[in-house]
Amino acid sequence: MPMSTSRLSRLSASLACFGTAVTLCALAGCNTANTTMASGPTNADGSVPFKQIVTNGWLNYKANIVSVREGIVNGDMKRVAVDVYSDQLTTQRFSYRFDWSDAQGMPVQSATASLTSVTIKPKETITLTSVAPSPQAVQWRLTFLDKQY
Amino acid sequence: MKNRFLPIATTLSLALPLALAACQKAQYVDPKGNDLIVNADRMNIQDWNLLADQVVQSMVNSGVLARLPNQPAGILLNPVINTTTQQFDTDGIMKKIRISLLNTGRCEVIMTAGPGGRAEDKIAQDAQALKDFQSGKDNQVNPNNIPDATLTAKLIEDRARSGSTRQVAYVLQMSLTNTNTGRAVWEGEASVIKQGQRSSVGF
Repeated sequence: MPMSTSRLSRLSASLACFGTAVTLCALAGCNTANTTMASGPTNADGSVPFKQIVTNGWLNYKANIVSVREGIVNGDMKRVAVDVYSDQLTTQRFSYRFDWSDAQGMPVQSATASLTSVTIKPKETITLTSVAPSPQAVQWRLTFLDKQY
Repeated sequence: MKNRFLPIATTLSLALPLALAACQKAQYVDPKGNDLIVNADRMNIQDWNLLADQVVQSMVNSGVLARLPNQPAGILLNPVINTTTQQFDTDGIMKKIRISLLNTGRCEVIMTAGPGGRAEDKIAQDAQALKDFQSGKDNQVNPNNIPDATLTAKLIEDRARSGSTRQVAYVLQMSLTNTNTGRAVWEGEASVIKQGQRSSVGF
C-alpha cells in the first residue's frame, strides 16, 4: 500500500530530528561519568570486588576496569590500585578522580584531589593509584570522565 | 529638533554599556572539575593540585611517615626555591602538601620555630616563650621546636617549542630529611607537562 505524501514528510521529519539528536550527542560526546567503587571486603590476595555505574559506554571501552586491589600503608591508611584497560586501536585520553569517604559514607576532603588527565595506548593496561587522605577515609569512589578538550 | 533627540541619545548611550555588561557571562566552576582555564605557557591552579598530589601520594605510599621519630613527627619546611619564569606565591603548592601531611596524622608542622629563628606564627612563639618562662624552662631550648624531619622543595621549569606548538614542563622536587641522622629518607619528584598553541579551557 503506497504511503501518502503527508505520512512520508512526517517520517522524514522524524528521521531528521533523530539524526540531528544523534549528531548533537556525538558532537557533545555524551560526556557522562562512569563511577566505580568497592562492593565488598578485600580478599586475602588484596583484590577487591567492585561495582560500576556505567553511563558512558564509549568511555568504558577505552577505560575499562579489569581489577582493583587495596592495601594499607603507614599502618592505618588505605590505598587502592585500579587496573584500567583500553580496548581501542588508537591512543585515547580520559580523566579520573578519586574521592574518599569515612566509614559512615561522609566525604573526607583532600587538599590535593583533582581531576587527572591520562593517556592510554592501544590495548594497554595502566594502573591508577590513590592513598586515603587520612586514616578515617576507608571508602573510595573512582570517577572517569571523557577527555573532551 | 536636535534637543528633542538629545535625551534619547543620552539614555541610549548610558543604557547600552549597561546592557552589554549584563550580557557578560560569569560563573563559578568546580575547582576539581574540567572546566578550568588551561594556559599552555603558565602555571594554573590545577597544576598546583597535580604537583602537590603526586608528591604527597609518593611520600605516603613510601611508608616513610610511619618510620619518622616521635609520632606524630614535628616537621619544618624550608622556603620553596622557585626557579621558574613565573612569580607566584609558592604557598599555593606547599599549603596543600602541609594540609595533606597533617591529615595523615603522622606529622605536625612546627609553627613556633623556623629558619633563622623566624617563626611562622609569631604570636604562638611569644605564647610558648611565656609558658616556658612561667614553668622555669625559658633558659632551655623547647624540645617541641626541634624538628624531627625537614622538607625542602624546588620548583623548576622547562620550555620547548616545535612550530606553533609550545610545551612547558613544571617539575617539583622534594626531599624529606630525618634530623636524627641528617639523611634524606624520602625524595620525590612530580611533573606537569602541557602543550598548546594558546589558552584553552579543559583538562
